[in-house]
Amino acid sequence: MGMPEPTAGTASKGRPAAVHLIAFAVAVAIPLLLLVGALLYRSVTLENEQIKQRIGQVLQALIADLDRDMDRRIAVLETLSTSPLLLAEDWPAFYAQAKQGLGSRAYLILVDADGRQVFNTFVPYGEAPKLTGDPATLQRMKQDPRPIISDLFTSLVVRKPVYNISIPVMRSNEVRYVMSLGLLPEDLRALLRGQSLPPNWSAAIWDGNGITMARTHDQERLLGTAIPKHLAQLQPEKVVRTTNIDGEEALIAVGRDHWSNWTVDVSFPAALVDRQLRDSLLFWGATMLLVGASVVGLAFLFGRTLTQPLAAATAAAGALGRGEPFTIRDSAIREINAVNDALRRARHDIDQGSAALRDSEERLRTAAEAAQFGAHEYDVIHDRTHRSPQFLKILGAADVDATATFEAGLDFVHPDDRDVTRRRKQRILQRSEDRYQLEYRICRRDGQVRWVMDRGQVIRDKAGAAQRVIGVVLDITDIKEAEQRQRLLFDELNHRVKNTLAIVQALALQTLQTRPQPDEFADAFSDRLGSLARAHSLLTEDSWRGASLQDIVAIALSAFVDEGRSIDIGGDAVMVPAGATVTLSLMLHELATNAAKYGALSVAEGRLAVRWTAAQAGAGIMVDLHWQEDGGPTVSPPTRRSFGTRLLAGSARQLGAELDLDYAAAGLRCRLRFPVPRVA
Amino acid sequence: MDHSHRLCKIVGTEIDLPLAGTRVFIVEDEALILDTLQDMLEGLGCHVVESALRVDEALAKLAALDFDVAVLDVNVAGTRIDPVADVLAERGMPFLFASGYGRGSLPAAHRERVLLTKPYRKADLRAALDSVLPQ
Repeated sequence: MGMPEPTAGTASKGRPAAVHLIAFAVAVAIPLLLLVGALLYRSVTLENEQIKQRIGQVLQALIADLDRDMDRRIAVLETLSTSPLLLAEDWPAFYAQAKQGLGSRAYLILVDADGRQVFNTFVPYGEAPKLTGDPATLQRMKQDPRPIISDLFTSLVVRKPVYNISIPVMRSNEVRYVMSLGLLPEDLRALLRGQSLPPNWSAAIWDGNGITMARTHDQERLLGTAIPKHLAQLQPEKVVRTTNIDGEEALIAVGRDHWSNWTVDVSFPAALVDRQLRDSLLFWGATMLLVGASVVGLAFLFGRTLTQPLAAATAAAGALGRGEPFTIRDSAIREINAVNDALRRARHDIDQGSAALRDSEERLRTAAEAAQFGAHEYDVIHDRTHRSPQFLKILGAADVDATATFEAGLDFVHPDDRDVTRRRKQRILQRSEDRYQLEYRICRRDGQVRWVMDRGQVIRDKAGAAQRVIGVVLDITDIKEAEQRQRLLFDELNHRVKNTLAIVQALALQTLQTRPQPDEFADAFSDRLGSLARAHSLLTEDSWRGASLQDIVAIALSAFVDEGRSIDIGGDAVMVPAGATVTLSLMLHELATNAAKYGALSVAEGRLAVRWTAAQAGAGIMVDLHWQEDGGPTVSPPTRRSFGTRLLAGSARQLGAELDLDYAAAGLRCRLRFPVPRVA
Repeated sequence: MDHSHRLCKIVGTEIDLPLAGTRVFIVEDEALILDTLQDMLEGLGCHVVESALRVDEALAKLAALDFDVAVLDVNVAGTRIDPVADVLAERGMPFLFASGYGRGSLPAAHRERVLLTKPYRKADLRAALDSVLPQ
């Protein structure tokens, strides 16, 4: 049974090796990239944190500076408040002292408990406005006598936005006066600027009412403007991301200064932070792409070391399968080299095997041709017979008959044998036996009828169903004809033997009639039997085809020839068939016996001549034989019917001959004219 | 029917009364065998009315012949006896075969007929004739 054919589709399953390599590279790269991404993210977050911390620090530093500034101012005020002039309420002197002490850095305002300005060093003494421009401070101080820093307000005197730092002057635990330093917001800006903030950073101070007092930039524009509400509501000490005064997203931290209601704000534009994040993302993206590309490229490059030899090995395997030659170089990969080795060995083994198979097939084909076996194979499932060229030669058929169905294949079987052969072949397919042998006649395409022997074997599957029939057909016509000839010969032999025995019986019975005495009978019977035997010997020399008339006569008369007497025997060369040979031999023996007893051969001077002619007579030959005795005693015709007479008459009749017996005085003359068929 | 008795000089022959006068037709190509058969028949009291050495000779003589039984050789000088057997069967004439061949070589239509195998004894011949002739 053959092996099942492997499905051709396995080559399309699975993915190319390159894909696997790339998948591996990607699988390695992705965690790395994710790690890089995570690191970047962390780095970005850290930076954010740092910025926030920085913002916080800057804010603290700013607030600390502001506090120190306030402290100094308050210290100045408190120093002044200890002036005896104040105690003495010597206003002009105190005015002069204050003005001298402060210089142009600030101006002093003294306000009594009712809110009336006592003096204001910004203007000459006595020109101070009547009322304070900052009543709120007075109110607060009365409730809570401690230094107070005012919000921004417009000074009546200075006619600009200003702010005050005020301390109470206590008399008997009551606020008697409020002494304030009048300061310009520009001082605050100077303070802010003095922080030497890095570029992009900005700081601002706004008062308890949310009015901008100072900014690192845009001071003039925004001084006195209210800050957006959301900024006013910010929690101190927390860095938040929100919109700043300019409407941009920023990281902002606010804090309260120690002395006042003011809020200090430090902000860093979010755009910068965002840009950093975006830059990081871009960097990560670019890294990803770069890594990805290089991964794929490397996978490809390194993969080539793998895929090229693989492709070469695949091609070689394909060539092996197709039976074509191939060459493959070794590669850098050991396993593939092992495969290449195996392929080369397989090629070698197959080639050797193929060569051996071809040799074997060649010998088989030659043997089959020499033996004239016509091989054939019948595929039961597809109802198709394949016939070898030798088979077609036996049929005398053309190449078109090389394949045929079961029924069509019976075409060449002789019509008389066709049904039987069909039934037998069908029975062979159904039976459980495997080997078969049939003999039947075929009609060759050229009309000849031949006998063939069809021998073979049925190949069955596991279930016992016939799958294939393989066999050979051999032309056995010669053998069959030989068999038939042999049968005929045996029959013929049997018949001849029986016939001969009947003849012997006839000789015995008839001899007995004329020679009833045992001694005489024995002599005469042996004599005649001898003649019969000699005739048979003569026939055996030429396979019972016949004998020459010369030999027949010579043999028949040989027993009667003695020294001194010659018998004249001669005539045309004639072949006498087997049956006539025996009859003729018996006749001649009878004539010779009579001549020896009563005629020319009974005396020494007697002579005998047996001569004949052969002439064409229609389809055959007519033999004209003359038996002439001379010099012997006169013979008279027999009075009674003797054995010899009967034999001669009967034999003549059997030969279809004319027999003339002339008992002349000189000696017996016997003329026998008989036909023989012409021998080719 | 001629019920003549015949005294034969052949040793030991007895006249078979039922067979006496039976007319016989012989077809045999060997003269010696034919003569012997004739002697045997005459020894049994039969009368050989005619004989033939060839099939065509036999068919020709058969046409106008009157007889009781025929003894037929199967292979007559190369020609088979079938036509003669067929004619006899058609005419309802009793006949038997005397042959050197076996039963298988008899004409297909007459394979069940009485067969004397050569060489046969006179007693065999008598038994064969008895079985073939009507009682």
